[in-house]
Amino acid sequence: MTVDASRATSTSTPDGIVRNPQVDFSVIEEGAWDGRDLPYLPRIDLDIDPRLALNTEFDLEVDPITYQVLRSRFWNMNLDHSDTIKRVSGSANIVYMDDFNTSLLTENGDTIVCGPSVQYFTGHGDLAVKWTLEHRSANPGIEDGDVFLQNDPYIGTEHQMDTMMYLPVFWEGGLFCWILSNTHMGDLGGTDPGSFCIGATDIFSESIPVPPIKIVRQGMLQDDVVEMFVRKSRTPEQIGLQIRSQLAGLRLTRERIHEMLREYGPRVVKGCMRRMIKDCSESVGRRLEQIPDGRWTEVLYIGSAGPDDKDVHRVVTSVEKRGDRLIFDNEGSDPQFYAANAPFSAWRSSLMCAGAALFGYDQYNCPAGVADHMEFRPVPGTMTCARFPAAVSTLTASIVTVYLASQVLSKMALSGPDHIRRAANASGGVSLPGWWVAAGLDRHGHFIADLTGDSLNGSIGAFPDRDGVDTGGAWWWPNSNAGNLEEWESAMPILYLFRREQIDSGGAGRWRGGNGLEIAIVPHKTEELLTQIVSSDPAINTSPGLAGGMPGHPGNFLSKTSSGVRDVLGRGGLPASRTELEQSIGGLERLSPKSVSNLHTDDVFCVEYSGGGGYGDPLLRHPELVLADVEAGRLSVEHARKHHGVVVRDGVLDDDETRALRADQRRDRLASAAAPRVAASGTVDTSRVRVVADVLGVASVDGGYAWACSDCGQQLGPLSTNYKLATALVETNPNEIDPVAYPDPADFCDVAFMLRQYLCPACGVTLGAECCRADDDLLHDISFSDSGVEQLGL
Amino acid sequence: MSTTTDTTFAIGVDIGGTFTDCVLLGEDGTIVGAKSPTTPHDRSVGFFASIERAGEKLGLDVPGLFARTSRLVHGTTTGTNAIVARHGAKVGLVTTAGHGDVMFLMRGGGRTAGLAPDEALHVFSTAKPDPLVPRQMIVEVPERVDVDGEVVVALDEDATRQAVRTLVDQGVEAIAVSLVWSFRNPDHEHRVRDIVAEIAPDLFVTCASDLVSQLGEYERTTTAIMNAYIGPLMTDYIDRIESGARERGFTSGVLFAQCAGGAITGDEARTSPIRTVQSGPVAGIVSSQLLCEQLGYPNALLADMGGTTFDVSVIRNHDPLRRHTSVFQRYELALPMLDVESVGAGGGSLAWFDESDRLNVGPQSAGAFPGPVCYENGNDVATVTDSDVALGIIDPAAFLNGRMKINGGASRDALQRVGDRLAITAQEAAAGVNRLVDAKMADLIRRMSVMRGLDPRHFVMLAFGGGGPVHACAVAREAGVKKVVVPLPHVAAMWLALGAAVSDVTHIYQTPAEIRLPVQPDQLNAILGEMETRARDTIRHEGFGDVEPNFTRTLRMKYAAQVFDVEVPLGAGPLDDAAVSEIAGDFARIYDDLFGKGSGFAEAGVVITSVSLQATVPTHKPELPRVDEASSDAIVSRSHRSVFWAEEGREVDTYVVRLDQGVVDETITGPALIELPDTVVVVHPGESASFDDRGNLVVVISE
Repeated sequence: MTVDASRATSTSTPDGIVRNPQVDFSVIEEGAWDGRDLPYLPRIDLDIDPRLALNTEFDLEVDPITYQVLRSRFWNMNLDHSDTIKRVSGSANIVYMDDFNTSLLTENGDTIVCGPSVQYFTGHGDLAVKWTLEHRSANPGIEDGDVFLQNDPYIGTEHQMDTMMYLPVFWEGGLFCWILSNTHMGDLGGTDPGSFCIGATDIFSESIPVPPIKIVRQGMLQDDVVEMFVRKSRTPEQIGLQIRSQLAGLRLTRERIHEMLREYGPRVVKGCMRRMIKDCSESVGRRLEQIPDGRWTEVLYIGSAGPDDKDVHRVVTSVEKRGDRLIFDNEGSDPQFYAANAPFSAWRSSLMCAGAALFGYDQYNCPAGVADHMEFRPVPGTMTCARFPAAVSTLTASIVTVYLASQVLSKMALSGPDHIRRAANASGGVSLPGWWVAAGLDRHGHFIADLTGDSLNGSIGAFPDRDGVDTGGAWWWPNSNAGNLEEWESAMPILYLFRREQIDSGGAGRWRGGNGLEIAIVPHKTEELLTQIVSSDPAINTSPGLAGGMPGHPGNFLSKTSSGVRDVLGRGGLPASRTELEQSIGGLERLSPKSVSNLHTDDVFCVEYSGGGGYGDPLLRHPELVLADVEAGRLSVEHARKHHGVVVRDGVLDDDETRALRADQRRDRLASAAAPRVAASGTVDTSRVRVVADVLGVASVDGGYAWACSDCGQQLGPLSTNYKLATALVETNPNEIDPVAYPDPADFCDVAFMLRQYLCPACGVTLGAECCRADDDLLHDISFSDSGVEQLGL
Repeated sequence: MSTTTDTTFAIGVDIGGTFTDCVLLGEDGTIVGAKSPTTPHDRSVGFFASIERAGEKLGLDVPGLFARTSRLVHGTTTGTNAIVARHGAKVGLVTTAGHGDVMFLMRGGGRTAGLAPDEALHVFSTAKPDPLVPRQMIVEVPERVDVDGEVVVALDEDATRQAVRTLVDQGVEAIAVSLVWSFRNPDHEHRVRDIVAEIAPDLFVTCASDLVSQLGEYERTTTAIMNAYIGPLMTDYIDRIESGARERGFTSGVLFAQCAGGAITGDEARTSPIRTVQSGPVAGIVSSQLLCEQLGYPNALLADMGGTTFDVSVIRNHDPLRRHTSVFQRYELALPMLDVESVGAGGGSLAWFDESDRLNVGPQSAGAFPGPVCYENGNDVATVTDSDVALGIIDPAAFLNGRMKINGGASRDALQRVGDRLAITAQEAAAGVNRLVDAKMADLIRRMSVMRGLDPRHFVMLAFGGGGPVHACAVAREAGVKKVVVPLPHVAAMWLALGAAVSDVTHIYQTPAEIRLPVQPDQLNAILGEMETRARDTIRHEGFGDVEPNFTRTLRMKYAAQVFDVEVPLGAGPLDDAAVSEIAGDFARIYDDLFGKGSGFAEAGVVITSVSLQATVPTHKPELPRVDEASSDAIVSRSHRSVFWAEEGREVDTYVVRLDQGVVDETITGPALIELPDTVVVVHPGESASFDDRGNLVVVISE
């Protein structure tokens, strides 16, 4: 084995054995961190009972062709594993929504390959396997033919409904590797059907989590364990079927691994596994090294996190980048609250999946290689790192951490070279603002309780070199399927009035965020329909832009009772959008994000799903692109004028007026802005400004380095300070900017929530933008360390 | 060539990218084939030229041949090409108010539909495909039908007229009408169609419910739009073929091969041209089905390796597997279609290094142009064909029967560059490229068999295409298939045309249902009876007289709480209580076979989601000829040359049988190469090959 000496100082593993501990226990709260009180954080040397023989031998020097054949086979057998679960489970959650994942892990629990289903599952499996090795190897032991089941969020999973089953593969008497699947099972008990327990104040009101338990013992499915597990559920048969599907997938994959071991031998097979980690780790490392060192922070807010809650909660992720190493902390996150919390493993998994999407997308999804560059410094007891027994079932903060992770890493990537930068992506996705469940009697008199797939239409935020994707799903959920409306009208007693892309819902920017979806339904052929919303307050926007781009429309729930819409239909009218609906029946009312309504046939229920965030100042968008959006019905003429300063009249672009309007808008912005808190003077030649976030840049000046506007050359203070201090600040309730695109935070929250836009005080271009509580300090979200300054090459 | 003086012929014509192939199939088993260059400006020219050439081989002019032709079946890629190249008509879409975005939503999955699973992880390079109809060409009309087919909002005819006029004013060349729930109640769609006809009588107009009778407004709309997209040009094309045939004395109607297998009449192809899309590969399955039937192979994996893709389809119990939806050009189509799956692995697949310096092969391809390095058309990245050349499998002097000059040295140099990067020899690199591409193909074979509950050990593999026979044996071995058949080498080049010639007129009817078991016999009998009457009427109307069609009747069924439906065959004749009582058991057995034992969730009940009828006008299928008559005119030469065998890790002086015509009575044991006019069969060490009595080359991989 030869190890490249030049890489000795890098984090990347040269032989596929992960040595990065991921946690420095001396800098985080003292405690056991064993998944009981504090969440589980594995130590690099696992405490495994010596009686468990591990098959650790491997040969890294496999010939390059055999390596590629086996690597592709790992990927394909893992896809087949997923297919088997789909076929046996046959449930809509799994087949349409792809709400599961499958993976393969080394004997000591490093994940070498993860499927292309839900990506935020990618960072849980390794924690579960490592915990099992540490806590189950002595008692009850880990033996050939066993299968474990677990869904304890304090060990590793999003919430209890995401239940893992995993099988140790033995070869020649030693534990060789693990096969794992994690599926969203559906109802597992707790106060609310479906197990999203909105009002839970601790985990004892939710589905009781199950730490790793042997569900198959030496080949025999343990009936007692299965019955104990399914007994919690309101739909035990379905849970039983799901267990069978996971078992079928594990067994098929074990057969494939055994075939491979017989053909190539354990040293070669394990060598390929280790090399996949090495390759991924090195590739991610190479990409990270091209980004200057520094620190970036992203803050998002959760409004109305529990019943009757009118507060706005802060969740934070920061990354400090050193060389090829990323150190994350969640400092500044608010205390845990109701069931809206993310367990540590969800926060970590979000960062791993965002890291893979940005820096490891061509490595067949090898989470161990991505995590090899990461260190986590969790502050427990917060919404991004819950402490037992906090409730976690609603996923609210767990999903928000996915967007936090993508935003903070995207901000960081913007300082890199073009090929790194282009993977950055403003927020967008599914499950924002949340979802709604309908319950009632269908037209055959059967009781149904179901949710539509509408939120899965999603949207993709803008990239640094192109627009986002309208109703493009979620970046972290590649193969989901929102279904046809005919499927939902068959399954539920509803009639859609419209289901369409919502014009103007993508965040404005130099590059536009993808538009989201709008729908309206009326109960149909049923007496009444109960609708329950499971959401945080969408007005507390979680769809931010990047580099000064505007946030996307964050979504909305609306209704009108005794609306008269049936009369409209009777007269032959069919309102085809929210605008047309309000023209025909009058204004809709916003619904609280936790409301339960009993709808009758003349009541209208309308949902707007979030659009993606924009990238860069909207006034910098090419007018022809704005015109193309207007022509394609993606953008209204009014929106084009108001947000992009582009004048389109009778389908024709007016260049002169556009130029004049844009100049006016910049002037007006500055006129309405607060003066910089710290005046910075001096300009630099714009050609010497090294851009780090679309227009925001850095330049070498007399006596050091300064922030600078790359549009006009204005200096924005020393690089050691927060550039925002030297900007002109416009602070607005987003609802005043656009009452449709940005619902009013004051409707359901007592805390003032604002959009801040940081302008160059000289030319008025937007350098950055963020939503925040009105009393928050200016967010210091970008800084470069000394080594980073050097790497900027000023 | 001689034939019985009074024999009648079925003619099949298939138009490919380069050549138009014609096969004459006599009732006495005579097979005559001919090729003529494809004429892209007007493909009907090449169409008749190919028939002329085939007739010449029998000493018949076209009118003379047509006088003895019982049917003429055409497999055309004209529609497919127009969709792929995006040069179809300017289409307008009329749809339900509030639902005009169905083609933009693409059910929320459009960003990754049709991508390989790993490509979906490259978020920044994923996007939806360009729309087939821009938003300006979509009009929404007030009307609404509900889940039961009941009218909630009547069609606003004035608004419809106005909407259609706006489309006509924008210069649309065809209109697709697709309304929500139209398959449950097509009245509104038909009324819109009539209104279009009033306003623009010559415009091509298509209703989704006339094409697809199944749930899913997205898939129906895609199908209707694509149908309209190719409607005008296909109408024009079919007119030219039909009038050309009439002018040359053909008195019956020309038939067109369709994607579900079988053929349709010109009239149906004019109204439903979408049914001709993908009919090319499907015709190959039809030929294979006939061959397997006559050779006694009930189960076969059909493997076709071309320049860019490797296509696999499956015949199980003599019947090709079908599917009801498929992704075509990244849009989901709802059409019954024979199931063909592809992976990006072909002769032109490029060998490239990724960010981690690992060797990969495909899916990017050099295609036919610039093609492999040895073509010397500007590509310098090694391809699979270059590897075959570098290993000595392909003899540069004999490539494509000597029709094309290639530079073997250029191939070796390209592989040397690959080898240098991996610190191995050029030949080791070539063997590596082949191993990677073979593994990829074996993965697809496994997905098409093992993952569908089929055991590859019980299947033969039929190998087609320029690259199929070269790689088939290695792929078969890796996938566990025991026998490879290279079908009728002297006919293989005309395989698709032969499939067209033997295609029967086929109609498929589907009635959507929502029937929970237990079902009453009368309920199913009524649905089936109605469809059978429709089928007889149609067939009579098409000019086939009172011939009784062959009916194949199936139910699509699923467990109520689960997603997957399966096809359950029904016997012939009216159903009684006994027949109906067997349905549940048949369903459970088929479900278990396909998805694994115990995978059904029976507690939730079982639902029939549709009733299908396939009506076929039967025709006589001639026996494919035995070859002993022809073997005397074999043109064969035997030699040895040096070939690198990966199994041996070295070059071996290898036995080469070159066969320009006919067959040889000889068991050829590997390592050996059998050079046929358009391909090379690679027989690996431990394998043996011989011809069967029909002239197929059979390679035994393992006993």
